[in-house]
Amino acid sequence: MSGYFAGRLLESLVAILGVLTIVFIAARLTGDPAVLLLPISASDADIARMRQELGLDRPLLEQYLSFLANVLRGDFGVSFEHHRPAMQVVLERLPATFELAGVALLIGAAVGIVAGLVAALARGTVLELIAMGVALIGQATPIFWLGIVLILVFAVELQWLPAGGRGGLDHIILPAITLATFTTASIARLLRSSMIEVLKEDYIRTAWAKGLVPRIVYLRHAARNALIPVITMIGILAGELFSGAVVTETIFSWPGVGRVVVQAIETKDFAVVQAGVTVISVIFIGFNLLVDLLYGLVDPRIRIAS
Amino acid sequence: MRRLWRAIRRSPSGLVGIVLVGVFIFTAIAAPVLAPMDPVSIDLANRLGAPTWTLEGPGAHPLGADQLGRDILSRIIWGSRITLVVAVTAVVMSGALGVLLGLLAGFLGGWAERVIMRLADVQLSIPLMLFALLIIGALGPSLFNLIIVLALTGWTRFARIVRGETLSLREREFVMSVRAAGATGLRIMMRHILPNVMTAAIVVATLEVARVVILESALSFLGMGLQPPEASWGRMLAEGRDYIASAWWLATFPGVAILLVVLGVNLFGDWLRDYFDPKLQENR
Repeated sequence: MSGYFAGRLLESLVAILGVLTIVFIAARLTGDPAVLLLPISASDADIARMRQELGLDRPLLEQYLSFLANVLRGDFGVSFEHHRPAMQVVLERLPATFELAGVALLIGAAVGIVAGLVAALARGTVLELIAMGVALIGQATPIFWLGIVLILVFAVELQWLPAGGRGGLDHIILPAITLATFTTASIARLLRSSMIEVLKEDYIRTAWAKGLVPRIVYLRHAARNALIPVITMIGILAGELFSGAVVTETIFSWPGVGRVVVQAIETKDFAVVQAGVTVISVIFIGFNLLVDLLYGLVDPRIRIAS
Repeated sequence: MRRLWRAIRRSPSGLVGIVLVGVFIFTAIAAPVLAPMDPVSIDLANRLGAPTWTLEGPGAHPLGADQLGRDILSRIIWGSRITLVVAVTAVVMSGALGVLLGLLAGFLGGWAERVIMRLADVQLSIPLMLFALLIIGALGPSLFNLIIVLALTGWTRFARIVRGETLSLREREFVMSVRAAGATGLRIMMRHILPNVMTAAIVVATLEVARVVILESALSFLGMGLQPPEASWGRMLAEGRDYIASAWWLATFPGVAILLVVLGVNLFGDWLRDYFDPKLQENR
């Protein structure tokens, strides 16, 4: 039991170390930071002095270890653009990203579950065809395009909702719908096929034979079990949400981590890029760990199997 | 062949997928013949010209003209080439890497398997888009770097499926018998296991193409993909975004093109999976 939890925790720590290593390598690929920081007129001696100051003349392994030590203290260096610690810049933007991703996940779960159940129960009808057709198109729609179309229709033409920025409740509607589309479509399709499978099970036949009313059979006996694969997929969907948030935030000028990272790339403010990628990845890893641990608590088979 | 035809006829969604993919590939190949105009020739007199069939028309451009008066239909047609080349190159690269690593992990087992699968876990613990931004931010935006990023993000799916297949193939009689006959490990892997995992790899590859098309256009949209004046769908969308209030056709049509291609590839991939092996159905 505790072996399973310890094992998962260790795996997560290894994954975090892996992420940090990739971030470190990427930083070394950017080119010589000493040259980037100094004006073009700087002499070779200036560059050499700068390299020494930044510790770039030391062996790579030593640089790597000091990078890790700094990261553990939350120190990713100073942002050129914001003139503040990069970590601070990223953490400030975190609530906005959480808000957007959270609302999108809620919409996705609610609409996706309803659509998936309806499609499974209305098998072979026009209703199923419509629900699954929309879901298929939803999965294929590039979200940056959907965002633009929503702005065109609801902000420019109808002028019902603001086109961007973060503010009252009306500001989050369009970006949240944009970000939720893929999640909704994935949940609906997955739940439909898993519900159809569950309805073929023996225990459902037993439930019918006991003379239970359809509502009880469908919701209490079938839907509960059909939701299990959906819950396992939430970890993957969280990754999609964070990826999608980068694009959605850019379209809607939503002041989140994704937008600040995109802006930092444009201004070559690499400390912010590193901090942003690391923070989001660690949150993602932590979220997946949490999902697995809860899952292990709920379903003993998983603990035993591993 | 007859079985193939019957399988196509029995699945309308598969048929739609095959037609969409077919049209896409044909468009990419025949772009110089199909495009009515030069996709990069600038015509400022016609800038932001409306599509022929709208109320604001009639202009000379079937789907309108962009901010430099370039024909949008021709740019979409030429853009299909870039999309196809980028997607196929990236998927072939990630497929080769993923199949090789999956084979090694499944066949060798032990520490090789642990290292490879842990690497896959690490890769998967960075959300895709952020990984892409990190690498492009470091290397700079270019066609080559874009393909590298797309290839690096895709190999894990191949590796996982191929490893699973290899694990079960390894214990099958025909592998046992060639092993007993004295075949070397490399030979067993390449001659006897590889051909048997290719079906699964091809199905993954098809579905990967859809993912790559979306990711490529998203990165081009963020300005991290192809550089102007090349007609990439994602770039066209990004440029059209600035004219959204006055000229909706700039951003709308490239988006429709991406949607149709991704939808087609997804439908085709699903159909292919069911055709080859219903067991492979992974619920998505």
